[in-house]
Amino acid sequence: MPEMTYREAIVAALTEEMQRDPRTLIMGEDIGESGGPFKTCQGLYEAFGAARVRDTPIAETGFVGAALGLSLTGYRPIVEIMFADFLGVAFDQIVNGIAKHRFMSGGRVRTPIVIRAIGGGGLRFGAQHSQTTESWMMSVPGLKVICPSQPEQAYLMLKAAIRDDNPVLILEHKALLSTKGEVPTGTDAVSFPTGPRILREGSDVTIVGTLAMVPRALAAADLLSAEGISAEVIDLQVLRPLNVTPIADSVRKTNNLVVVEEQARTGGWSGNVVADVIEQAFDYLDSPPVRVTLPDYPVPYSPALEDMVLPSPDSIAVAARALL
Amino acid sequence: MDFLLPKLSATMETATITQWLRQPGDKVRMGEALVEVETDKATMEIEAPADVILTEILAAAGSEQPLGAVLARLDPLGATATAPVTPAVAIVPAAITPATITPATITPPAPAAAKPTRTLASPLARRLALQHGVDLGKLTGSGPHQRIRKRDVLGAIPTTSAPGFKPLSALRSGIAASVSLSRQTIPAFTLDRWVDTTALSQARSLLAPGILQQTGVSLTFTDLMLQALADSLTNSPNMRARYAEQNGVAGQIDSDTVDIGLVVAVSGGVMIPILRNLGGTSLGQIASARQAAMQRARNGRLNQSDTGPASLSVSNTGRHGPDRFEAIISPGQTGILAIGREHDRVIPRAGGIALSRGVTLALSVDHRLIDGLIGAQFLAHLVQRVEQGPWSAD
Repeated sequence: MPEMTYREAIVAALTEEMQRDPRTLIMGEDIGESGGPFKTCQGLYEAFGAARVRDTPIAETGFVGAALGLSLTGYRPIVEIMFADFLGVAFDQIVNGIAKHRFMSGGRVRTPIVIRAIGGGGLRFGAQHSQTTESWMMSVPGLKVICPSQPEQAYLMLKAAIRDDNPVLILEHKALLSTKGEVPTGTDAVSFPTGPRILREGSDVTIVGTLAMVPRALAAADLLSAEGISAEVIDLQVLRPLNVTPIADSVRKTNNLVVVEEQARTGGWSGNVVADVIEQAFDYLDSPPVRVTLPDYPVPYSPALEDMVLPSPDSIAVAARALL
Repeated sequence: MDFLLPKLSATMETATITQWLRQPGDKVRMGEALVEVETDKATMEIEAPADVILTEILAAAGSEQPLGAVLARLDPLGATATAPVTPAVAIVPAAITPATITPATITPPAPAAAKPTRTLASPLARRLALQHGVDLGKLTGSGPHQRIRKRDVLGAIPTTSAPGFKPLSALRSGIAASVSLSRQTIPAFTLDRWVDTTALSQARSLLAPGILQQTGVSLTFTDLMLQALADSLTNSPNMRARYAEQNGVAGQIDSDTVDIGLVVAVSGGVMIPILRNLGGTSLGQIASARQAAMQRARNGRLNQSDTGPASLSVSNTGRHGPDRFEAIISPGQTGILAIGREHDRVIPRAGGIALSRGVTLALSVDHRLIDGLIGAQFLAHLVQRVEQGPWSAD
C-alpha cells in the first residue's frame, strides 16, 4: 500500500469516485484551478473540468442548497466547506432540507450528498475558524456524521460516503491533513463504517476520541505505558448514528473510561458516550468516567492559550492516571 | 409525620406559639407558612417541610413549647390517606421565614440529624463484593473520598494464595461436593433403634467356618446385617424407591432390585461401592460380594456398577466406633443406616433388668419420599429380622 498524507488520501478518494461515477461533481470555494485552500482538491479541475469541479462564491447557503437540488435531479454532489465553522451559514439547508427530504417524501427521493467540512483547532486560526462542529451536527436526525482520524480512514470513509444514497457529513481535521499513513488506493472494498474502532488494545483504562484527539490519545497511551498502565484507545469514528456498544464492551474489560473531545464541555458527544456506557456497563465501572474537553468558552487566538485549552497527551494521561 | 419545633436560634430553648396560620384539614404547599412562633430573638414563621395536609394541631396558640416538641401532625400529600405515617426520623422544617425584624441575630437552624454515612463504592466494587460475599462495610476504600474500588474488594477475597491454603485431593473434594449437595438438597431425618445382636453373633460363630471353607471369605458382622437389611428392603418397596426430578417435576423411581451401598474407609476418605441384587442371596454370596466391593474401594477402582443407583447405604464404624452416629445420605439414594459400636447395655426385661449386647441403628431417610411411620416400620422389621433370624448358610 502506498504511504500518503491525509490530504492526498482525500484527493485519491475523490479522483477515484469521480472517475467511477459520471453523476458525481464537486463544489466549493477555491477548489477549481487553485486546488482548494487546503489542497484537498488538487488536480481535480485538471482531470474533470470546470463543469464537475465548480468554484463557488463565498455563499454556503447557496451552494449547499444547490447540492440538495442536484441530488433530487439525479446527481451525486460533493460539497467542500473550507472551514467547518461555516456549516453554520448553511445550517438550515442541511438540517431542514438535506437531512429531511428522504424521510419527508416517505423514501421516494434520494439525497446522495456528501459534505466535507474541514475543522479543528491547534493551527492559530482563531475562534471562528478552529471549531470541530461535531456537537452541532451530531444532533441532526437524518444525517450521517463521520470523522476520519487517519489517512486510510479519510480515503475509505470518503469513498463509502460518496457511494451512499443518504446525506453524509464528513468532518475532517486540518491538523491531520499532513499526517501520513498507508492507504489502500484503487480498492473497491469499501463499506460504510458502523461504529468505533479499537486502535490499541489495553486492560486498565479505555480512552475514546475523534479526529485530532485520536493521535493525542495514542500518545497519552504511550506515556501511560511507560508507567505500566495499559490503555485501550478507541476512535469513535461515527458520530451519527452513534454506536457506543464497543466502548461499553471495552469498559467491561478495563473498568475505567476517559473520553477526549475537542469541543467545549457542554453539549458535546462525550456526554452521550458516557451516559450510554453507564447505561450499558454500570456494574463494570470502577471509577466515575472522566471527560477531557475544551473549557466552555471560544477557542482563544493566543498560541499559548490555544495550546493550553486543547487536550494534550499530558492532560489525557493525567486524567487517566487519576482514575487508577 | 410529626411536625417538631426546630431550633431557630443558637440560644433558643423554648418558643411561644403566637398563632396558627393554617387550620386542621388545610392543604399546605412546601414552603408555605404553617405557624408563627416567638423565640427569645424574634417572631417568625415556620414553613411546611413538604406538600402536606395539616391533620392535627397539638400545641395551642399561646402555649410555650420546648425545643423538639411536637407542634402538629402532618400527612404528606401523595401518601395514602389511611396509611399511618410513622417516620423513623421526625421531620424538622428546615426553611424559616422571619416574620419580624432583628434578622442579624437569627442563625440558621441546626441540621436535623447527621446524614447516615453511606459506604462509597464503585459499581464494579459493589458487584464483586456481592459475588464474593465481601462485606463492603468492613473495607476502607483506596479511591478518592475513600471510595472502595475493585482492587480493595479483590484484596479482601480469600484466594488460593492465602497462607496455609492447599487444594483438596480429587477424592476429598468429591466427598465435599457430595455431602454438601446432600445437606443442601435432601431433607433428612433420623430414626434410632437399639437392636440386640446376641442371635446374630451366635449365628456368625456357627456359620463362619463353613462359609470360609466354601468361599474363602471370613463372615463378618456386616455381612449378617447386610442380609437382614436386604430382606427388609425386599419387604419394603417404599424404601427401595428413589426421589428424582424431571423437568422440574418431582417424582420417584421405583426399583425391583435390592441394591445396597457399603461405606468403605479408604486412605484419605471414603468410597461407597454398591452390592447389587442382594434380594434372597445367601450369606456366602453376600460375604463374597462384600469382600469384592471392599477390594474395589481399597484399590481405588470402583466399577461402573458402583456409580449407578442404590436405595440405601450402610456405614459401620466397627468396634472402635461411637455408640451411635448419624450418616449423610449419598445423593441419589433414599437412606443410610449407621451402625454404632457393639456393646452391652442394661435394659428392662420381664419386670427386672437385664444385659443386652447390641448396637444402635440410626436410619437416616429422605423425607421427600419417606415419612416417619414408613421409616419406623422399616426399622422395626429390620430389628426383628436381626434379633430373630432366621440365619442360615444357604
